[in-house]
Amino acid sequence: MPPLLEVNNIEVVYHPYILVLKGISISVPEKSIVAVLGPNGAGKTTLLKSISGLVKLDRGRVTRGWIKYAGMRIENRDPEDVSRLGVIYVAEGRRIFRELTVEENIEAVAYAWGVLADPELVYRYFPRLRARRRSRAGYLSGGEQQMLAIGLALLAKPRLLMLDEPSLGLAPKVVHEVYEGIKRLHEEEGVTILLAEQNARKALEIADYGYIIENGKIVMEGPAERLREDKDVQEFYLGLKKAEGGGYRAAKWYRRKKRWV
Amino acid sequence: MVDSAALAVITFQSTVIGLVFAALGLGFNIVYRVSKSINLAHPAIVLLAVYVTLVASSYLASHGLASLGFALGTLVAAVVGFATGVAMEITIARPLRGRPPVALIAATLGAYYILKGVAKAVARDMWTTASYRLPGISISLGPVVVDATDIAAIVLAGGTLAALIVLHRFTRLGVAMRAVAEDPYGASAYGLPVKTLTMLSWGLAGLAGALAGVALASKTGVEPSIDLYVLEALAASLLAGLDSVAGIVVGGLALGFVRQMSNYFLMSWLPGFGDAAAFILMLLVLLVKPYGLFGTERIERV
Ligand SMILES: Nc1ncnc2c1ncn2[C@@H]1O[C@H](COP(=O)(O)OP(=O)(O)OP(=O)(O)O)[C@@H](O)[C@H]1O
Ligand SMILES: [Mg+2]
Repeated sequence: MPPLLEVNNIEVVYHPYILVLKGISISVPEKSIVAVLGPNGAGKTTLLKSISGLVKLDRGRVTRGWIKYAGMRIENRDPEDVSRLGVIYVAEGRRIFRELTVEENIEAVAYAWGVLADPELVYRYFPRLRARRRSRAGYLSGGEQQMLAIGLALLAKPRLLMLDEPSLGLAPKVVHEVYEGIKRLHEEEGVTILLAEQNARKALEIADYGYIIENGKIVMEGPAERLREDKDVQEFYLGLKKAEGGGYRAAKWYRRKKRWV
Repeated sequence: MVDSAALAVITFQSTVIGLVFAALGLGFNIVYRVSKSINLAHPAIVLLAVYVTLVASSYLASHGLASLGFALGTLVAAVVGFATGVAMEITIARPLRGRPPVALIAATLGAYYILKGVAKAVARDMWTTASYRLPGISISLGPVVVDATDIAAIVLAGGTLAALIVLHRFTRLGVAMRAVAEDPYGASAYGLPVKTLTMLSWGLAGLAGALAGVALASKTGVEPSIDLYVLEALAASLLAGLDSVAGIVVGGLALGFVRQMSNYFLMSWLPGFGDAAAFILMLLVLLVKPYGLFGTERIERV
């Protein structure tokens, strides 16, 4: 069976000539969780936005390669159209409607999906939100905002859910709670997940497969357990003990490390 | 100096004018919310609607439908107002989305002149002062005499305000429109029909402008310079806060009262000061509350 999502050697350019993705290929099998890891500015968000079509609104476009979802070519399509196909993107930085209450946030998104949308779904996976129903979303805690953002995406009954740094700026305990919700909805709703994260440890805990991108290129990929075992990944992304030995590899990584900070 | 009867009359008239100003200003707020820009063509939409009503109702009158003329003419104007708003969204706002707001402001200024030309073309030999043919009723409430022009103004302006505010605050469609207004980018990621809702907002702004325009012209008479009142109504919008929809009622009433009162009391030594007084009030409020009385100071990231 072909994968649900296939990104083939894409190049993405922001207006006017800023080349950000330099030939990226990934493949996301149905019902899997795939993680895209990498440091600040690597292009994770750009990749997800290119798939959802939102890159258009930033005046960017896919200039080479193609993106296939469920057998259809979707590169450079309108974000509204792509979301209609069941691809929902949850932006980084907890993009919710801050001026609206939790309930109104749900109502607004439910409006878009009509009978398809079941508001209870949000509370089922993130029960904490029920008590905050009538508060303005802008006043929720960071964790609650992230939960709401993911909950809103669920209303669309996504087939492919793309999450952009759901752990960003959250305390470890809250990250855990958010990830529990993600794991549960993956299992119970059978939704395929593409996850962009800097928090590699957390992402590799739930992912089946991972890609590491740096500077717009894939520098490493493999099944999650293999990435977890990899010395370089351990050192630079999981913050474990220093990789042994020195030599070329250490020097190369050292340079990279300097670039990230 | 002031007797209570005169005061009652001024209070009533201020309220009527205030409602009309609120309804005239509503279109600015609706457009601002979705496109973050001031629609300088709004006065021309109003002007166009005012003359469409005049032409349509006199056409109907000449075909023996005089009694229905005004009502049907208003209906035609409402449709024209809605369509104009939609057309502006498609031709101007949509292509300029994501560009600096000044670009859109400049484009709406261009649209102002185009629509004014259209209004002239529609009016032809009726491009003069005139008044709508309204039934000659009048009701006395103590010292206050309410005539058909007042009733038309109250019903049209009040009805427009009530309908749009209810739509906006209490319906699912309204909630979705608020979501799009706050964050169109996020809204399209969640699958909201952002283009349709933005277009609908512009359409409703045009519709509100048309109905408010007819309300205004019922009171003041139809005249080629009637669009200047709409600029005054912009003060009501700014006073309320450009991104507040319900606040416009307070803004409009405040403008109506200040204007009528200062015209009345200052008439003898500073004639015509009323219009300026409204803007002075606006400036004072904006000095204290730069987002207007009800404008949202955005909730920043917690
Ligand atoms: N609209 C834009 N116009 C021009 N350049 C952009 C735009 N958006 C992002 N970039 C650039 O593209 C590169 C990749 O950015 P992107 O946001 O995709 O990285 P990221 O991996 O998501 O980083 P982070 O972990 O910080 O979220 C960066 O160098 C950024 O400056
Ligand atoms: Mg990012």
